[in-house]
Amino acid sequence: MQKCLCLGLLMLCFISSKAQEVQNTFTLSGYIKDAGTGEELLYANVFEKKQNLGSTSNIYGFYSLTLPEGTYEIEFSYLGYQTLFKTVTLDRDVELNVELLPNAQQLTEVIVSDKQEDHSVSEVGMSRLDIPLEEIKKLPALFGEPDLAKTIQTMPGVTSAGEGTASFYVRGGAADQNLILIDEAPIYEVSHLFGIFSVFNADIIKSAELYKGGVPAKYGGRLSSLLEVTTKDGNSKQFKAHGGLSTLLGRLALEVPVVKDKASLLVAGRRSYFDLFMGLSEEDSGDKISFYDLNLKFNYKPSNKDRIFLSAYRGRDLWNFDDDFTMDWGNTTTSFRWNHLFNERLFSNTTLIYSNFDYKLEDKTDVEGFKWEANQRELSFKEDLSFFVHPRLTLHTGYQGIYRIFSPGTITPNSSSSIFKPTTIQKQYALDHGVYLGADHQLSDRLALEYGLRLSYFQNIGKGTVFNYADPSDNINVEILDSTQYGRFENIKTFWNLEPRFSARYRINEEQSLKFSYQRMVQYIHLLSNSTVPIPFNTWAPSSPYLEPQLADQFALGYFRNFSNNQYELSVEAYYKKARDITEFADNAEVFFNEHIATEFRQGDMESYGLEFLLKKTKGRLRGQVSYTLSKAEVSIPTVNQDRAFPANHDRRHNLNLLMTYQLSDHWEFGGTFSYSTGRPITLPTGKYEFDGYIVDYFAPRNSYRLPDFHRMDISFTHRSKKNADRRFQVTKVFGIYNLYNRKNPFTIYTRVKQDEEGNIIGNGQEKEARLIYMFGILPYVSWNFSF
Amino acid sequence: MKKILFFLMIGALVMGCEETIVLDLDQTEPVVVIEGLITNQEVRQFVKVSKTRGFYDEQATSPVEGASVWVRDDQGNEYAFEETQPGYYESVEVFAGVIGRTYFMEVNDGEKRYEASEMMYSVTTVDSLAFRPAEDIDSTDVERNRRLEVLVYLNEPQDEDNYYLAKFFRNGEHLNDDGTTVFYFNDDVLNGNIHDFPLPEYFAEGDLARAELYSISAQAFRFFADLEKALNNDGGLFSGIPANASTNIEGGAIGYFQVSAVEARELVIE
Repeated sequence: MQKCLCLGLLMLCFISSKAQEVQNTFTLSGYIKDAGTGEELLYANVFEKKQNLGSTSNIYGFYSLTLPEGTYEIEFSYLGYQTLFKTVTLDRDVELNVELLPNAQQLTEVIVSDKQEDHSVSEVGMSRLDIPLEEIKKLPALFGEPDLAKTIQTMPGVTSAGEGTASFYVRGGAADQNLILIDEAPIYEVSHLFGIFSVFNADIIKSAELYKGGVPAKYGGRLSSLLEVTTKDGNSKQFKAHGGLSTLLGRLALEVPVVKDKASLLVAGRRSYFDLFMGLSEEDSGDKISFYDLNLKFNYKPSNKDRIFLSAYRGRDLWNFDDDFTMDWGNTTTSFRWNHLFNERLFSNTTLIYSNFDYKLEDKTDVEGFKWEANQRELSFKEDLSFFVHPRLTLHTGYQGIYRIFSPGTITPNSSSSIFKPTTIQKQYALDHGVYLGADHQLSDRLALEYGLRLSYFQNIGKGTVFNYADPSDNINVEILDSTQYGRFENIKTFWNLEPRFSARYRINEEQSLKFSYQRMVQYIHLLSNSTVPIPFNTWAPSSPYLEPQLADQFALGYFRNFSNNQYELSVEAYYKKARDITEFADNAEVFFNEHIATEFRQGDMESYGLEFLLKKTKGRLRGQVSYTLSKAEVSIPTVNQDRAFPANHDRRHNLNLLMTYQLSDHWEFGGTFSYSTGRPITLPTGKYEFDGYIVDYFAPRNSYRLPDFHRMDISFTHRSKKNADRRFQVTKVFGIYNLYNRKNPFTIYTRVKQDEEGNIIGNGQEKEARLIYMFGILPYVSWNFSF
Repeated sequence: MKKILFFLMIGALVMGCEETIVLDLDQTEPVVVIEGLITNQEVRQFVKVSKTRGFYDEQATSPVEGASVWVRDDQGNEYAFEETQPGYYESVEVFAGVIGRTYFMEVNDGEKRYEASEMMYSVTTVDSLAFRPAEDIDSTDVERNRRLEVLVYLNEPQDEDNYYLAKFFRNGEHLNDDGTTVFYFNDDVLNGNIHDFPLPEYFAEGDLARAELYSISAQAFRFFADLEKALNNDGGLFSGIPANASTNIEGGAIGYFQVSAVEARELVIE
């Protein structure tokens, strides 16, 4: 019934918009670009005063504006660029590509936001954060390496597990509930070095937007958030190189105009170089730890109506312990996109995506020698159509189909005397479909809506064997009654859901608006991890006869206000999220290499609510933002924690973050950050007992204690050399101090039998002690960056 | 998996630092802990009954005295137990468990009754032990002149699913990494030929090496796995979130009533 009602509303909206079309109209369309680099400008503003109608470019820089017949002065604007006026006579459909010049004083300056000035008030979407990439580079960073994931962790409504981790948790959700896309290809593991760095190379990212809610119908598949990262296309006018060195990393990016204004290539790489030093000290001569990232993007415009993009990414961590034990993991993605304009009003994007995450562990000793490999692969096809029906109505529709292969693990002995035998946990397969219809709909100058419906259909398919367990939740004495064989592509179990999405903006006046959003999100794939921070050795599983899809409904209400000519942006959002069938695991679950992992699944409910405040200053010498979040998230899973509800792993009551930059002079800029948050929930022992000589902790209920509060301040100074202004070769240096007042921020707590500093047991061997691990004390750093 | 977590911890420690802190913990009600072991050896079998203590107490355990303990098997044999030391109950008579039989334990501490049952599975023999100079001489315990590694040889039957607990001793000292390692395993990924498998620590000439292999049930395998997780968790950051070990004891006690066939082999290194 509820589903029918939604469809009905959708229809009604279309009908009402039809009625508005009366006279002869024509469409003005084209691409908006940066005149200097040829990069397309995303979300640039197109406006016509007489009719009071406007539009923005999409994520490919394409805009379309339909107006009644006539002559108009069209205004093209973009923050940080000179506004361009063009006179256009619309007596037929007109194609107009424009290039905007960056503001003179901003040539070496920074673009704060890539949207229109009052976007936070005027946009329909809420709970969306565009991450200020240029700003990130001037903010202090761990080891001097600007990191997108770390900045996301400072946003309202987002928490982290602690410093030195790259995963982020949105509004009480888990790490696997974020859909992370780089050029539309999903990334399954965001961390390098277990989270000290993330996979995002800040030098080549064009835009990054985090959706905590109000996710358009176009996207689905994850419960909590969508992080959409778009990389630069590469300069299509002249050759550019940029790169830099930070404490632990070196990076280089080349932008090559293959055919001027038609084709360009971006190649970028990053590599850690601390392993080069590790070899120098006598002690750890055998240990090597390193990682790298490679990004490649090629884009080609065969005609004004077509654009082709090819993006590829590969990142890998390699750990080698004394040549006896190695582990390596990483993501590999490739996406091929074709933008096509059927006509001025119909924009098409066709995408083919491949994504692979895999890891490998190898013990090279003789008797215990083995190789353990696992991976997660997907191949997907996507077709998205945008139809600019009317200046006040744009329709989006499309389909995405994904073929997924889950390989949870294969063990191969790697010597003839190994005690191991070749063993494979059976692969699982799935087909994942989504069709959607959505609309951006401006009902009046004050009221605008974004609404849509997504139909998701998930097939857990063969080939495979499904065990019929006597009791599927008995993970200890696993008893198999019988099993069923399924052939290739045969349905094992199917699921479908309707996912309504709705956002509304009511503009009170030029400076204020109220927004509301509702979304239902469904997640069909599940990360097999029972830890607080996922590790790169976690694999995924599809929804199956023993695993229901996870489902979440979220409501959010927000008030948005800009002050002093859009210098300040204020937003207050309240949200309530209720999720069901969220995937957890039995106490002490065995999530690694377990053929009967199905018996370890436990699913239950999560409830999360909170209040988020954000104040931003986007202009002037002093810029930055202050955010504060008050939130609570609680999980209740039958049989886990003796059926008692417990705080979600990333539930933090208070979360305060301050990011700021200040232009000290023409050459010096100051950056500072401060973070404070309630400690992360932790499970601690309140007692102990002895069993067969072992002194064992007796634990209190799950997450019933908290780590001490977290707070840290970092500062940085960025210097741009004097001669820079007219020279092509430009250098910036960053000096910074991480953890300025040397706070020992708790990372985690473990216990051990009481020991002295050398690790010898002291006392009667029955006394225990708790040890606090903290990651980074005060850490000064320098980084050096160039571009030409 | 433990190895990975070990390296993870190393990684965390290399990057970070650690220090002892004092936790502000709530008092909790003590819980009864039962540790029972019935083997196929002709001995006085035992059941230990104790209670948990506070985390910061000097002693790990407080014995439960004056409990009544009984064990019987599925053939109708009953064995009475008597308290020989505080909280330590031994069968009045010597007896050997029989492979294939199921044993039932009953403990009554005067307030509550706790029961458990477990079957005795067969165990494979430890064929032999041998020693040789350690290959990786750098990692040996030179200080105490322990430069030899002791190797185990056994053939694991592949026609059935088996679960094992192993214990290794050097001159009677249980080698378990200062009480942090439990050697439990099953044969899911083993090919059956366990040759040249080194014991966990190094030995010196004159040492007595001993290897014991216990057959255990799938449930006991899980218990020992849980026990090791509890001994090695990192606060649930990268390892799973800590939880108390599962048990086969009904009535609200923790611990385990273990029933095992045992095979042992000793070697004097000379």
